[in-house]
Amino acid sequence: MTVINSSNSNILLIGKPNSGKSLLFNQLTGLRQKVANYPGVTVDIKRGKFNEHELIDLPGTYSLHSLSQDEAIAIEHIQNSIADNDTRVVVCVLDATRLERSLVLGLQVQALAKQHNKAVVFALNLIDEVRRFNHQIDLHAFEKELGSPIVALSAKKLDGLHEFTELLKQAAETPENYLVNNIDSDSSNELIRSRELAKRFGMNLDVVLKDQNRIDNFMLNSVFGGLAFLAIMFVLFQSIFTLATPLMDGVEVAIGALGSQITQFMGEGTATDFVQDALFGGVGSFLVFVPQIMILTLIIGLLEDSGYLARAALMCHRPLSYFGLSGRSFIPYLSGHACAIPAIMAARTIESPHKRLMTMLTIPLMSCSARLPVYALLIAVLIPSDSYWLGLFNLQGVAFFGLYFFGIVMALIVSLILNKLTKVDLDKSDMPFILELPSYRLPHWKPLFQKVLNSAHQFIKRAAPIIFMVSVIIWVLGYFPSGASLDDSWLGMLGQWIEPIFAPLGLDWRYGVAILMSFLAREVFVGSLGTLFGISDAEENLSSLADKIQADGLTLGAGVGLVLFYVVALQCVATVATLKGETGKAKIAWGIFLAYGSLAYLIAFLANQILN
Amino acid sequence: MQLWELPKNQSAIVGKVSPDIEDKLAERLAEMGFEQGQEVHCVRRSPFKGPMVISLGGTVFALEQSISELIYLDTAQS
Ligand SMILES: Nc1nc2c(ncn2[C@@H]2O[C@H](COP(=O)(O)OP(=O)(O)OP(=O)(O)O)[C@@H](O)[C@H]2O)c(=O)[nH]1
Ligand SMILES: [Mg+2]
Repeated sequence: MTVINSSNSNILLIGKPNSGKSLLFNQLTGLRQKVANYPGVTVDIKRGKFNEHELIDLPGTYSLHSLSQDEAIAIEHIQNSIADNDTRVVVCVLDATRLERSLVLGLQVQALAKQHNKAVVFALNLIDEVRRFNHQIDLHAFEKELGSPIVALSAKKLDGLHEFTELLKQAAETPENYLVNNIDSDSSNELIRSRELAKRFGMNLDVVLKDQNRIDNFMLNSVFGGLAFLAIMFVLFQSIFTLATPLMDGVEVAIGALGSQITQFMGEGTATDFVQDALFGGVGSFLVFVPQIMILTLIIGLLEDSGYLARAALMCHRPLSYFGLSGRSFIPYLSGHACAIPAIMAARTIESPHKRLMTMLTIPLMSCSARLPVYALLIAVLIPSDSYWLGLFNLQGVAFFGLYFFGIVMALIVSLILNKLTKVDLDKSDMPFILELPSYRLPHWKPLFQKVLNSAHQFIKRAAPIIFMVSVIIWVLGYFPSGASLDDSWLGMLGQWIEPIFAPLGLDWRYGVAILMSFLAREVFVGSLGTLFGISDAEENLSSLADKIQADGLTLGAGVGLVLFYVVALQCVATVATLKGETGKAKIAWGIFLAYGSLAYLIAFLANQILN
Repeated sequence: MQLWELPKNQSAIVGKVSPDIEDKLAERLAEMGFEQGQEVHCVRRSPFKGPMVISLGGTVFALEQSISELIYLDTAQS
């Protein structure tokens, strides 16, 4: 028997998908890793501190025997972590409402941990759901059968969490006392044993499933289910506009009031011009969009927590297969509307390597939240706010929906074309589409609220410094030499050089500068234009940027072309880097960057030609 | 009879899996509960040959046609 190394200090959380590992991880470490009600949320290893130990949250899996190559990477990592010298305790997280399925993996993990002389404890999570049905579990007998300690807990309601924390501390303190001591460790009958144990200790599942099936009878109905799906998607994209508008107006008024207060106080001069144009024109015009980001996060968060997304994936499987994608592409696509980077990572759960690649390459066409400010600004310029479609839907809202829809349609077309071009033989490494449908649950409010606040924080933290810097640079280059008009400024002189590139799109050099700058981050577009129009606005009134652009005269064709350019172009270095990391090929990442850039230019050109 | 042919709201007993299924996949199916002798219930059928929804051992799964055609049902007992 090997002696346990005392320098080791890792604690692993292992369990089947959707068993609450990440929520437990968050409770034990105080961190906020992503938690959602569908299988396959965590796709990467997450680390955090628990006492002086390192707690490691691993992606969920049904088995330690891998099928596909993608899966092999994740599973090998779990196996290696168990064997690792630094591992002190292995926590098997079980879903008490799906005992048989979680025990299959739990027993496999226990057996492997035993081989490597590691301490094992079981966490019987989701016990609140079991108690709701008045089911009692004899933990003493269960513990005896397992040969490892087990604590019933609810990572959500916090029942039993204290007891579990104490156990975990103990086990980490003296792992040698928590080695597995079951009599029978024959790995071949884990299936039989988990069935027996589930029969003996688990609850009668028919009651649970009855609730779930009642909702599914509606949600998966051929007619109502389809309509419900369309309605949910429409509400999602529509409310980004309708719910956010009053909030955005509020922020805008507040920023405007603050700006005029400060500039009045400062009096006239270069410093005042700077504050007004670069600070309030640049950074301020971008802060207006924070409410939209929060509403988007709120609605996606509600959907993620409800259990509906797995159903949506199931309903989309057939239609998406036609485009060479999988039903599992749906969730990455949806989260791509918040940000492409986690979405590209989430594509790891797609069963076939080819479909995964197609999904990753087309995710950048989903309108991520960085594009929201650009859309909102240009829509406000092009469409009067009081026009209605069919007297019912606000036309600006419809245009918003249209832009999102355009991105999705482009993604499907690109995927279809790529599939026709790359003749793949759908080889055997493809997993078939098998998806576990989780129980429906009411959203967990506190983390949802935190998620929403965090999204605003991230949005500001990521873009504000870049926007500030770009605004300052643009302001300096555009303001001097002192007294010159914008066209005669240093920036204006540079602008003449790039104007020919953007002339075919019907855009002058100021838009050209803003577009080029937005390759740093898309939101920079709004800030740059804000600064540029601030400088050229002689009266120095703090009217909204959209009004200024309107007064300046942007043609319909050029405006539509510009906004469509932003739907298609991949102006995000971080996305290119993620694509490179996840595909392992720099050529693919930069190739897709160039391809989407050219396509965007072409579309903008055509829109300008046709509409003018 | 194939699992794919199981109509909505009907139950049956899982039989063998097709020999066309690779061993690894067959093992995974067993780990997910598709084992001889287990009762399976069809919860929903989707239009246009979309995935079927079944419940098995307390878990609900969506399965596409290509895989559920390769899982046989024990006709003697159903
Ligand atoms: N009622 C209840 N819900 C829980 C409990 N623990 C987790 N959940 C919910 O179960 C869902 C899954 O939780 P996660 O922590 O994301 O699960 P996971 O095991 O990390 O899942 P993967 O990352 O996909 O492997 C979420 O909706 C949680 O809110 C619990 O003790 N009780
Ligand atoms: Mg997780």
